[in-house]
Amino acid sequence: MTAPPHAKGHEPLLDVRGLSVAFPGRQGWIPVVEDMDVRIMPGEVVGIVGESGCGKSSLALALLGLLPRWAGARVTGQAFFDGAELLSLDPKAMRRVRGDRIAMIPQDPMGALNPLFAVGSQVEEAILAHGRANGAQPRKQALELLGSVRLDDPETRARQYPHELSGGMRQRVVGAIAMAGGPDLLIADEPTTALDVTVQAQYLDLLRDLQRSRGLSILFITHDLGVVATLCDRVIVMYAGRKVEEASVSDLFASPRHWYTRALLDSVPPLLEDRDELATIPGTPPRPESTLAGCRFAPRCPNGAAKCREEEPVLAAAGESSVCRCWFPLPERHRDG
Amino acid sequence: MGNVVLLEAANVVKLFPNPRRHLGRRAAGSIRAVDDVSLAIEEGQSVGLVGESGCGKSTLARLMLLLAKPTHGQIHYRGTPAFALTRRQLAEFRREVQPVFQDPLQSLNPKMTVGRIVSEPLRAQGGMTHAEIRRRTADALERVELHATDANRMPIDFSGGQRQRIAIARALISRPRLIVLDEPVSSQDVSIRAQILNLLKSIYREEKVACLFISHDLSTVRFLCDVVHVMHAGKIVESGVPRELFASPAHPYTTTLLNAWLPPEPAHARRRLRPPIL
Amino acid sequence: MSRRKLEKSTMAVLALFGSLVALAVVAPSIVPHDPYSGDLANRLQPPAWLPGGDFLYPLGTDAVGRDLLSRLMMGARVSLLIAVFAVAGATLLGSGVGIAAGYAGGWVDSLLMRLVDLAISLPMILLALLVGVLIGPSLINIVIIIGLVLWAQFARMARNETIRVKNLAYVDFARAAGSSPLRIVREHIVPNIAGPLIVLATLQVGTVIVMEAALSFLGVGVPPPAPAWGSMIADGRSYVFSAWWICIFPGVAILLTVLVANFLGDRLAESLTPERHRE
Repeated sequence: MTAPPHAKGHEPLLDVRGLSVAFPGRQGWIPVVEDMDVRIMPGEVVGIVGESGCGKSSLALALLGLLPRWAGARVTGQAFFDGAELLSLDPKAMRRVRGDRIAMIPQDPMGALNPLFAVGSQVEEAILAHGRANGAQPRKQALELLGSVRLDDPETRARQYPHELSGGMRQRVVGAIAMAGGPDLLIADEPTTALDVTVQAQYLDLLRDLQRSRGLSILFITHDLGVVATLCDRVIVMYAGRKVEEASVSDLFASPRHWYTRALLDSVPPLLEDRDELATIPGTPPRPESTLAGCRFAPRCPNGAAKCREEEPVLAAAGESSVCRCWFPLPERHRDG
Repeated sequence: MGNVVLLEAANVVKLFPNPRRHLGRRAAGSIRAVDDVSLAIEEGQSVGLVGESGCGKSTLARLMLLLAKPTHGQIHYRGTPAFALTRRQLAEFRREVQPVFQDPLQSLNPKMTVGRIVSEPLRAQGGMTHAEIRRRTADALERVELHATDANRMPIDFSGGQRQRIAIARALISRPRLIVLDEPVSSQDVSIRAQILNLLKSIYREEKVACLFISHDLSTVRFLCDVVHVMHAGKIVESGVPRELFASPAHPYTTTLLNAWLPPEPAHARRRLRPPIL
Repeated sequence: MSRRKLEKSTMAVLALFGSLVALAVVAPSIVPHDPYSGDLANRLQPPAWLPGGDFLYPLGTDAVGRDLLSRLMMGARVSLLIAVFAVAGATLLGSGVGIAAGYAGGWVDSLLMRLVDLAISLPMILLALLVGVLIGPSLINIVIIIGLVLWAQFARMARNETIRVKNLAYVDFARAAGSSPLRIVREHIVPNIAGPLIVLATLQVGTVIVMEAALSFLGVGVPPPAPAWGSMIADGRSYVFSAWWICIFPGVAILLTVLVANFLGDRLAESLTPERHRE
């Protein structure tokens, strides 16, 4: 299957169209991701931000064919990666793509590392698996990789086991394994959520450097708005399985158009100001099983109009390169200076 | 805010045996989880303890809750050292000092109804009729913005944020003078976090109860606390009023922590992309 | 397997186990013949579908003319009775010791666990032979012997589970709330360790049935003329080639019962300990 031609001559590395993921439930299919479009250009960092249950992890797993089989998920839509369509690949072909062209960094490094083997050998194994070993030097390459993820004293560390390393170090090892295949796209699923704040800062630094030096594209999934603001070029905001807003980082944070985005930004307690009370979003996100007519955010939206409750809004352009799924998007805020 | 010191740690040290083994035998030395810490909480005061994982803050919390004994130093409750507390005083301590823990999944017994969970402090102390207990449980649940009827349901029916509210209700039911909260919002989503922080602040203000907030997040501590202590490697490295401390930190670790906090603002964030590596 | 198929299979296995138990309970009333005495004129008759067989004795008769089917049914009663009592006793004793060891910790834990180690190393057959020789075998003695051999496993599991639960936040909270150790064990520990213990107990039912069969086979189990599957196999030893049905049917009965018990344990494990079971 070939990808549709692209207008500007600049082909996206990843072009996801209409991706939907649903799980079997008692009364039919439960939608967890609905009609998502994601486009990542080479060398771009795109963040997907949303709260738990919004479907962002399922999206990432679906792209890599990693949804657990026993869950019986149904995946529809198309995902073009450098010309090839991912979702229709057979498992063997998918395995070749995974690690080689697209690598994943999961949230929990302990789950990704084998506790029985030293980390050095796990990196070597990744190098060998992707046929990147030049000559008979996988050992040396592994040490280089560990050095490139800024692991101090790679020689010693390579001999250690995962449980002997701190969380931050483990996440770096996972990063090294991910980079072993020389991928073009890195999908990072909340990699810093379990890390300390100072360790997180260093890790994001590392990712930014890797991204710049290798022209890596990153799909960064997180619930942390600060991380998105630091690392990403563009942001997609997800709510209840749908994309509700997409914009460049500077546009989104300076002038959010969707009510949810703005409420989210307002509810973060400031560091350098005293506040009496925080702005909150009343209620809780809808459960995937619930069938609501109209906009899924309407029950919690300060601007709930009748139309919002009756008809679900569609994604509409909201600026040069932004989209927003709202009947009454917020007006653009003009930035000073 | 009176000047009565409710709970105090005086030069507290907690050592754990070194878990590393060398050739099958335990390696020498111990881990100093808490290294000569002194900390006082006055009546009605909101104290913050901020630090990253492994700095000893949770261990300190357990010591101050008298759930573990310090290796050296003492915990004082209303002036009396812990080892010298009479049974009556200890019972009073258990009534007056209540914890709220981080992980809502593990901090509620999955096999008990919410009502029994929330009323446990009252039932453990005895001396109340069933009707009294039911009434107090209903009051506690409503104080945390849940319904009295939720008492009959099981924890699994509730979301993470609601479970944390249940844990808070449980801490409030015995009308304590001091609540120790260990990372009360860390595992919550951003929007739920704001709701719970508002709730905690309103409880602190209205019940005039002293609070010890333990967190790794500076902005949480800024929002909730009158005074903050920064902890690193078992020691308190700096203390002060958040407004002043965050504006001009004295200790390099505090600076590192402050720099590592990522605000949801791109321009600002880019300026601080390279924090000093400790 | 999808969730719906799992639930159906659990129901099916429960139904099977239930029928076995029901059979055991009503056996005396529905046996077609007297399982204790036989008609010598009809000895060694083959099962009904073979030449020489008769639908009066559907599974054939043994060396003294007793109806095999009736003996099998009564044997079910004996086996399940022993299994239920031995497992129940072992569970209660083992859990009590395990919880005490796990919650108290320290020297109490060490002492009790040494006791458990001792009990685990007891050789069941030798013990049974000894008891059989000294006191003479009886139903109660067998339950006690098997129970003594079994309880240690429960103690170990109960202790490990208690330690796991003891370290959870809600137990910390209970202590901070002033709950007494007894209250903590009763309200927090027991309900949360019951699941795995019940699964273990169910799986042990199969083991006990085999144990009892072995003891009966060796002659130190259920004393004759009570029909026990193990002794039925022993009786049929000399006729393995000529009247094979005397050995085979009791063997098949043991196999099926153990299979059902194990399936039940498996299914219970799925529903009682779902977090541990999911891959």
